[in-house]
Amino acid sequence: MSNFPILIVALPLCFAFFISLLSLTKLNRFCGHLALLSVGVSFVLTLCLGPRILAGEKIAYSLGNWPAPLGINLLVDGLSYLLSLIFGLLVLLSVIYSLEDHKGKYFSLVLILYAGMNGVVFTRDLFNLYVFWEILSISAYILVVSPQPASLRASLLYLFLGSLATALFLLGVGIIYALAGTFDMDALAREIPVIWRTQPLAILLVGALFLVSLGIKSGLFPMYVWVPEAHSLAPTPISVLLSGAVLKIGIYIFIRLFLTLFRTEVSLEGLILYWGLISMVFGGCLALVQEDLKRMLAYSSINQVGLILIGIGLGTKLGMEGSLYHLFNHALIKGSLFFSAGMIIESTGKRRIRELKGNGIVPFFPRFSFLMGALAIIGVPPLNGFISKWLICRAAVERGNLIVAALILIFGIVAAVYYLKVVQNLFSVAKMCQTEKRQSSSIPWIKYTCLGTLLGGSLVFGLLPSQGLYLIREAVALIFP
Amino acid sequence: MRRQETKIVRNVARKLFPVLVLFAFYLIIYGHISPGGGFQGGVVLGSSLILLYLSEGPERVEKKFKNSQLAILEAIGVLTFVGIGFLGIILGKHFLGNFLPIGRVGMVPSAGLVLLLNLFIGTKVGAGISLIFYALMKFDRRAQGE
Repeated sequence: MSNFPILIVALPLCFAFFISLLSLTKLNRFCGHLALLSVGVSFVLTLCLGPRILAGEKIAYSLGNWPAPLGINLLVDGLSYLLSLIFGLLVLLSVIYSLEDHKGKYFSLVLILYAGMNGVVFTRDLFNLYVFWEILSISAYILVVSPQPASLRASLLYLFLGSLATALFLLGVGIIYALAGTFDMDALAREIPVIWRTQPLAILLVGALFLVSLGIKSGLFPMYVWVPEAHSLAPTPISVLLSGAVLKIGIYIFIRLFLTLFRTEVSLEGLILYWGLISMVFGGCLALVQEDLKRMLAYSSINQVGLILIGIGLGTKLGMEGSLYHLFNHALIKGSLFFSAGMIIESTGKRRIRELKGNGIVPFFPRFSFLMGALAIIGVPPLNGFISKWLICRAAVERGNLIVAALILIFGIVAAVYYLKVVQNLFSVAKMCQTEKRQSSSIPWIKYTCLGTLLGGSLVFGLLPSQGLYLIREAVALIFP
Repeated sequence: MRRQETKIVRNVARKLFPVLVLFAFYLIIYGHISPGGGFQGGVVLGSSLILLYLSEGPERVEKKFKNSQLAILEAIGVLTFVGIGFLGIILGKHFLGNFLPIGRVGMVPSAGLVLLLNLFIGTKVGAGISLIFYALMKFDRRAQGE
């Protein structure tokens, strides 16, 4: 039990290289199954930690028996557990989804991505955080490449912007090390207020560097360019991972660094609130005019990440609760939306929203699940998106920020406009297409199970919101004790 | 495609190659007591292969040091590293916990696991650098051929 944190990180890493070894031999076709096994084991280990974490315990682990300020430490607390749970679920489903379509090195990269994600959320060492972040980013850059030639351009764009982001982050980490002489987060939490008194400008610089780099990585307003490109052109399971997990890493690092560690006199709440607001407005407006299905989902991700930031920026416990719950819900909903969009595109070969008209071209289940996902993300009551939007809205009202609350509601309606446009096309009967007998390629049942799991999840967490809030209670308690 | 350098370059490169490999292993093995280490040594190891590649031409070098062999070597380097980490857990310590005698400060066989780990990092980095170079050169040759 005590070794679980490192096993969750190291097992996928170990299997990743084993798979890259295996892909050179004749046993190539078992790569996917082996990846599934290792992600499964890792996810089960994460689940095993659950009861202890949710009871309020923190599980620390020091690598190589070196104690805190000297060595690298891992710590699983409420926040990292929540994120690790999301990552585990999404990676597991993505691996299942891609079992038939991909082989060899692809799975090895997915496993490295998974190891990197868990490493980022577990580590207590700032430099180590950077290393894991870079590991996961590099595998994400490569995974974006799909058979479509345009995806190479998207991958390169993501690579350039992503490297800029991590380079800025590294610069910030370097300045912090020069000032404080340590990378250990607990030691830094003690050191930063002391340094703040003598050298406030340096700390401000570091904060600015971190904010810009996190903004790029989580696709916030001015630095969002890579998001629609990479999300729309990547293979479906990778789109799910990018939107559901990789964008969330930026938000996690923001919460971890700025809200639990470096609390200084400068309040970032206003900045985050308005940044989130602009992102939400911008993402929502641009999603309205998109013609490509997956591009629209990508802009919708920018919109939702903005909403998550608004909840954080409100600076109240309720807002944080709503935000973290929305983070969790968005992973489930966007996962199911991207999976169903992928299936729709796969079975019809069409990406444009206008061309999706016509009953019978698209199998029923992807259409239905797209409808459910759309309703959930718009915030229609029995589904989970409603609960988190409601919490954020209520927090805004309680804070007296009625304009923000109104904007959230208005952009709920905007989301309804652009999602229901697609739904309308999916369920409409086009006369031209009916005469044209189209043989839609069948989708293996195993892909339906991925979709079903996520849909079931969004229904369960919508009907039983107390269960979801129980999951995030410890994470919120970390920030608002 | 013929790409051969002059006799002088080839002779010097051929004589330099073993020295470079020796230097690489020096950097790796003395990594824990002097400047150097697994990564640095590995880069020198990789660049020694690059030197040979540039002077002898791609065909001869890729026949001796096959792409697939290097890929296997690279994967084995990491796997052994993680394996040593897991060995620490099995022997009742933490991940990467030291289970070897620590030895005397300043001697080569000291610092427990560090020497072993450096060796495997060196293998991995050396193979990795050569693989990256192979890939780039293949790209270059294809671009020239078209």
